[in-house]
Amino acid sequence: MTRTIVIDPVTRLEGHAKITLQTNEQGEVESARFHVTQLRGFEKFCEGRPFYEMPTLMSRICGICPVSHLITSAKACDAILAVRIPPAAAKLRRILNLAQIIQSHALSFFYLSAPDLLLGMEADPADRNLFGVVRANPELGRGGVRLRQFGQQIIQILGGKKIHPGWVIPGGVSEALSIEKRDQILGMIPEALSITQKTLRWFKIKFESFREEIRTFANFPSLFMGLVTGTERPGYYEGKIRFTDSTGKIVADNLDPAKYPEFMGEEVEPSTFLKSPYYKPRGYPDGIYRVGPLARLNLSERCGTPLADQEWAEFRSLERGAVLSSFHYHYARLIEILHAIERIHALLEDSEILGTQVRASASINNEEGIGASEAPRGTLFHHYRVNEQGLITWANLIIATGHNNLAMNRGLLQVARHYVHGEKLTDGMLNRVEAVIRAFDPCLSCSTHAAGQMAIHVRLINPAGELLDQVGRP
Amino acid sequence: MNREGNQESIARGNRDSATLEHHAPILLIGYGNPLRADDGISWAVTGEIRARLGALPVKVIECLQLYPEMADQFRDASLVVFVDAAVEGSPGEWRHHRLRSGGYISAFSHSPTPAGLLALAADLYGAAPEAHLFTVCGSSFEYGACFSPEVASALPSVVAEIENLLRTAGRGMPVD
Repeated sequence: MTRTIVIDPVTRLEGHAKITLQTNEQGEVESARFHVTQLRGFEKFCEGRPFYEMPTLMSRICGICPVSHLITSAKACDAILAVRIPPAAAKLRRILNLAQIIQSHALSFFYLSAPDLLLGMEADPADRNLFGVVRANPELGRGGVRLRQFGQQIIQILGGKKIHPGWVIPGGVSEALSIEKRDQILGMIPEALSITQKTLRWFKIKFESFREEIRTFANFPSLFMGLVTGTERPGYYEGKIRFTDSTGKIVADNLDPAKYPEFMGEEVEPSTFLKSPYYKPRGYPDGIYRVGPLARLNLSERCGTPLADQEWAEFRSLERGAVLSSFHYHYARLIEILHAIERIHALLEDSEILGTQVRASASINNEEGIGASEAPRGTLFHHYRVNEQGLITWANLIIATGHNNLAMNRGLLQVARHYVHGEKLTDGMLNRVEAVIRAFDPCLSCSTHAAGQMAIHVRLINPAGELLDQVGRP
Repeated sequence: MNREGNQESIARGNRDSATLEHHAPILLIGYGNPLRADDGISWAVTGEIRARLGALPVKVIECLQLYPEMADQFRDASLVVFVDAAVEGSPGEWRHHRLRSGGYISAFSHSPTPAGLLALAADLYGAAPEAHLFTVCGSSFEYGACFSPEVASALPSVVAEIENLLRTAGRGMPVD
């Protein structure tokens, strides 16, 4: 008898989602689907707004990574103005973007995934949260809180607010960096660096006990995509698009992000509001690729800062080609935090960072603008068209979580086939189904981790619609 | 005053420390959405108190919701006062609760309750400060920046009570 297992909901943030697993007569999982069930509609309701409002408006898309939308939107607006922003402004934007990556990665690693990593996939759900982490390993917990605070403080120092800051505007930024603020950030760096290095040492020992998860968590050949700068380093704020394959070979390189429609398609599935981008030359769905920390470290030949380069080399030695297991997104996140701290330090030591010319002014010179940057979860595109008055007539956003849609579905099937069997659902089984999604850190992952109770509801239903078993919140 | 997002300031000497992570012995935290009518009462309370405190070493934080990183600021605090809107009670009715750590923790770890924050601080640093929660029952939580008449009329008395609590706690404390 075939059965359908529905995990609903999986999220409350950035749209609701559910997971459907279909089993066959033998009780083995045959198919797995990840559905995002809510339409947000930002691309439609921004139509008619003045383009210069877009950075602030678009930052409201997300409370976790508003900076990514703010910066990418501003870059699209820069293109509409056809300006090259002053060097100091570009460097300040880079710092803000890196701070965003630090705080978001810290949230993902310490708050959402560390409970699984520290306490185990079979641990009591009441303990699998930040509070459980703090009780079991106060030093790790303190480090996570401090590291996230470090990223948020930089955002507040530069942008005025931790969440939904302004400051980044079309043409640059609204205010230059003062010596006082620069020194304040510099003063916080040693502690952040120390926490990150300690956590890396802890995690590299810890992940040895997750061999089975490493083997089964979305571990398959795929393409990887991201921005690369200087031909070898991840380009967090800027760069050209590179695709590599599972052997590490470059498939396409030096692609202009502004020409993304030439190499990237977007497919729509009736079962989800999340679009499925794919690499056009390989078609749909064979053009599956992954983005984000794992992809960025697979695409590059180094990070570009001393400590992170050492870690990158160790990371890449895990496999002969690209590192394929999505479990290693966690490892990649820590390395990116390390790199971001080092890079922020270097940028702050650059004499140009205190430059007072931080904004370029112009009128509308293009009726179309495309911005791209690396958000914590992967490459983010904002694409706008405006009329003569500068009012938005059309917008398209390709968000990192969407790039990973095909890969998340495939990873879900892999992990469900490995862990879900028979008619009885166990908590450890379901946590692994959740955890594979969590490894990708889609924005909705934060709501899959409840304190004291699971934020998911899983039902095992037979073809007649009869409930066979259920786990989670009633 | 910017009516949205996280605002922090030290009451003493008009020092606007929106950009400074300053640990103070007394924290006053107002949380709620100032664009949702009575839900913004906490911001009005903290705004009034900020203007009155003079040299007291109180750090005032206004935010849309509580977040775990706030527990880090409890390390050096001896007193934390939370201000929030409530839906239970009669409109305009305000209540004063003495908080204990280890109480209810909200379902989502990125948005803890006041008691959850205290519990987190205790687990992180071995102790939690004395803490109080003041709630004002609202009647309207629709879009808007105006308060209902009942809530507006409650403002002076709740401000006076909190101010008294802060002044008593701050007596004799050194100012930096």
